[in-house]
Amino acid sequence: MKKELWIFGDSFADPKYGDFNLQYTRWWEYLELHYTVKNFSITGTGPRWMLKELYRASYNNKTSDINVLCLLSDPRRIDFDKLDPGMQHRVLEDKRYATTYKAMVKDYLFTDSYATELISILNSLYVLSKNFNKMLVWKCFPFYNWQTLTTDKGLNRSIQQNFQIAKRRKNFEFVSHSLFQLSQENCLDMKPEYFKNTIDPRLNHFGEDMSKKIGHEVVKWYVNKHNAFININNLIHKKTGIKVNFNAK
Amino acid sequence: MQNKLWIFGDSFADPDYNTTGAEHYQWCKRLEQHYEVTNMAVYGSGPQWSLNNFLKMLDSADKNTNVLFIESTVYRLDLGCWEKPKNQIAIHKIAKGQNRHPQSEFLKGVVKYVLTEDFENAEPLKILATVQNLSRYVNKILYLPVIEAPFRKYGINKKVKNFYMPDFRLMEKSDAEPECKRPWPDGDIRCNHFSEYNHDYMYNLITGYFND
Repeated sequence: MKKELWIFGDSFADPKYGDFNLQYTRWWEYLELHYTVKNFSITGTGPRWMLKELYRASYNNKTSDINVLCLLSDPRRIDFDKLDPGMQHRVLEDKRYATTYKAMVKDYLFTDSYATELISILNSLYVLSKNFNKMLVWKCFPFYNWQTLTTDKGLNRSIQQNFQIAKRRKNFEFVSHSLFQLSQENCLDMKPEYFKNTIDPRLNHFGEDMSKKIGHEVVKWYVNKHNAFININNLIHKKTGIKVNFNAK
Repeated sequence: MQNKLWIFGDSFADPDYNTTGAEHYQWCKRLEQHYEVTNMAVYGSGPQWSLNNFLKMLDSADKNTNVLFIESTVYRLDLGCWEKPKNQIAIHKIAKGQNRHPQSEFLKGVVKYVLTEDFENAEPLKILATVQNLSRYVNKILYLPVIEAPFRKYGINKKVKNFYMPDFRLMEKSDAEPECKRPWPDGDIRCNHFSEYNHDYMYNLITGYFND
């Protein structure tokens, strides 16, 4: 019997994200050959929601045989109560919540303390990973996106160091080369007509070739019992310089 | 050379949350005889603010640094609208209209949309996990939560050698005292919410762990 593998994330792993006319295997679907995959991902959601869903799925359950894949998304996507999770990425511009959320930007998101959100969630995952068979955490967006949120000059040396050190142990790895970067670097996968669209039509933001490469890399990481690691060098190829608008409708 | 002791927390460790005549037994003051104490604890402040202070100080930590981290209640968010950290405690009173504040509408929104049951369950684990992982930079960390939180036990990693979280919770210990007269109409008159014998207990716990 196959072991379970849970995926938590945003549009980079949402089974519903992308143009369904495109028919190729999504990167995470390669894992289905080896595991019974439960995919909890929803486009537009943030890391706090992800952590909550992980708790809900695992609290009081035996999880030692279960593998987990967490995509660490943009911390500005706050899990506000009574808000459709898929709206988290649009909340700061949604007029329905304008009064509350305008203040949120200045007095909540732009505080020094909130700048610790991502590191806290990463550390939580690191600690929680002891309850699972293996846990892979992959950052969705580049670090500079996060630094622009802070009122300080950025995270100090020790925090950055902590990020680095927390990256790997026997059953845990944090991949800091973001999925966004990989996606941007590989726009060659796309046909020219797709660039006319306002949203990225590729299945989970990756073309066929890159989906296959990432799929094989994650399968290797989970299936290999020894110290396999995600080798980013296997995933980077020519940069096109073409930018894609990632604002999902 | 004395070892350093950094203290983070709320009124349970604030040296100014004091009563006349308590100076000789107040545990955080007595520790100054043994350690080079930097006490960052402030009455009314929350754990996110304390964690941020710890992270800011981390660059000056070394293997002579001990840390006592008191995890206060997580609803005390460090928001930009507070004039002082101690104001963090007032969020619910302002949201209910019991206290006045120029940002009362915003604070109502925070209580309504952010301070959910899920948040109050999950946030303590985030604080605990981060502090626990920071133990690699210091000599030892003693972690004392004020109240219990269901997810915390699920996350604790008992294999971390220089990190210790005892089973008791500060609020329970405080409330268990016969001297506790909750609800206190004029605030808790006990120094750091403890009577003298529990100050002794705290002092012995802390020195026992860090000197071991």
